[in-house]
Amino acid sequence: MIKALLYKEWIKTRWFLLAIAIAGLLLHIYMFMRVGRSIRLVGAEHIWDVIITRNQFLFSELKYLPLLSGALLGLSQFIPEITNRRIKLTFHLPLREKTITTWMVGFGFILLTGLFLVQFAGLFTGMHLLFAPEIVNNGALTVLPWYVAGLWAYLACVFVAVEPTWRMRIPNLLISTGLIRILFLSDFPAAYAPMPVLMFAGTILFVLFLWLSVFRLKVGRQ
Amino acid sequence: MENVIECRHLTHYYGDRCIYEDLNFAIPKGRIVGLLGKNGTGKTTTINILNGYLQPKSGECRMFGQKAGRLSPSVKQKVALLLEGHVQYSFMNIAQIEKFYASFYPLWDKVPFWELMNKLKIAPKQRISRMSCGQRSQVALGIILAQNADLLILDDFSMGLDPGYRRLFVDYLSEYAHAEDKTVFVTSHIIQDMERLIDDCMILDYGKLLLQQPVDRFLDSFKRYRMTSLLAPNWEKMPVVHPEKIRNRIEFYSDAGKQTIVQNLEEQGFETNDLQEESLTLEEAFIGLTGKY
Repeated sequence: MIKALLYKEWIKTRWFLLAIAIAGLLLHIYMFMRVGRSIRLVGAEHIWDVIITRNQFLFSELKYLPLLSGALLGLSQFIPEITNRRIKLTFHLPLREKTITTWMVGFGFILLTGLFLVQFAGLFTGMHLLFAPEIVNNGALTVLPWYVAGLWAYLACVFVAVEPTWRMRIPNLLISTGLIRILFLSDFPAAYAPMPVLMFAGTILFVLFLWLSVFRLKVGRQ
Repeated sequence: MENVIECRHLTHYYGDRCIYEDLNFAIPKGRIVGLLGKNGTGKTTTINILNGYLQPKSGECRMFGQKAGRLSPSVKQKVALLLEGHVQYSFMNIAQIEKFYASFYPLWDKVPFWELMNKLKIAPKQRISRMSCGQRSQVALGIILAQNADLLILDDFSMGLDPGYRRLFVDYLSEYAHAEDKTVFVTSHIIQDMERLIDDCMILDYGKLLLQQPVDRFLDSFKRYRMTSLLAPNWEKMPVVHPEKIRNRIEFYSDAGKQTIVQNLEEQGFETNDLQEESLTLEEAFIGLTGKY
């Protein structure tokens, strides 16, 4: 049964996942081509200077990609469920509602995390070929909140979409936007390095929020 | 007879608006029961409460002895559900949806599903979202028949269907339910379809259940009466509903029987020579009982 449930999620999201993956791949290719060209044109010393003394991060085009990826995956998975209240069919499947929700959200969350890990590994490996380990580690800490924002965006889409009333969807959207905005307050490289607890706590908070929406849907709030 | 569905002391409000108060009913095993009512009388609300998508203000519903909203997976397997508008997973094609549902129901029988699909001449890879409303209704019907469930709950199955598809739906469902001894609980606001399908009718009016009884017993007793008179009788003294007088033509409905009506009218000094008693279709009886407005 779980396999069939995941099959349904796969049918809904497969083309969107492919689009997200291709967009990520193309953006990474573009970023490394641009950085490589800059190194060839202006020299490694100048690039080094830009990174070390001017605190510039050379892969900032990546900033909103995880956010958009998470939002797109969440919408592709849950808009079909709330359209015509189709989620009633899903909750009527012979499984516990908690089991259904956990597997549906788990499907999206794990796939998105997997995709982000592949992108992160690509960036990390590519940077290792060009820069010193200190710069690579700093870069990893810079992109980490962006990827966490992608996961939050996914959970926020579930939180907003599953909420049964428009009256509550709007505050839910505002709360989610406010929380995600926290992760984009500073462009300074590795600015969020001391805040892993915030990122973890935010993720837990979004998970609790989405369960609230599921509960409200289940009891038929109108 | 064992009851498949039981609702006791059900009360529900949307804000200050009362949908119904202290509603009680039971659906016995093996019966096809139609819940009839005008728009806004709480038909879909009842279906939502039964399936646990809505908590009533008070009272409770049980299906197969389990409280609605807390049904175990094994009970859910016994209940096939058709949502208003024949909603299904329209992002799937018919081969995918058959494969998907087959995994959830141990008694899944794909023969009726594919039989219906072959009648529609739909390619297995055609997406449900690209089908007409009538075709989608047949997909939804095929799924609930293939589930081989003990109880079928159908919410407003006639919505959006043209007469041909409505007839196909009713005939297929009726034959299946009687042959397989299934219990069916169905709502519709197109009453003429129901007459071919249901054994018992439940008629909801705003705030209450007006009646629950076998359709043939209802139609045997509930009649329309017509007569001519310049004066109207004192309706308060008569067991009638929705009396109407237009010029000298009087029309009313009653389940008291012609003899009682004649006696009542004669006691009030009315001539009853031209009093006509008319048998009704279910639709006419429904309008007679609930009123035109």
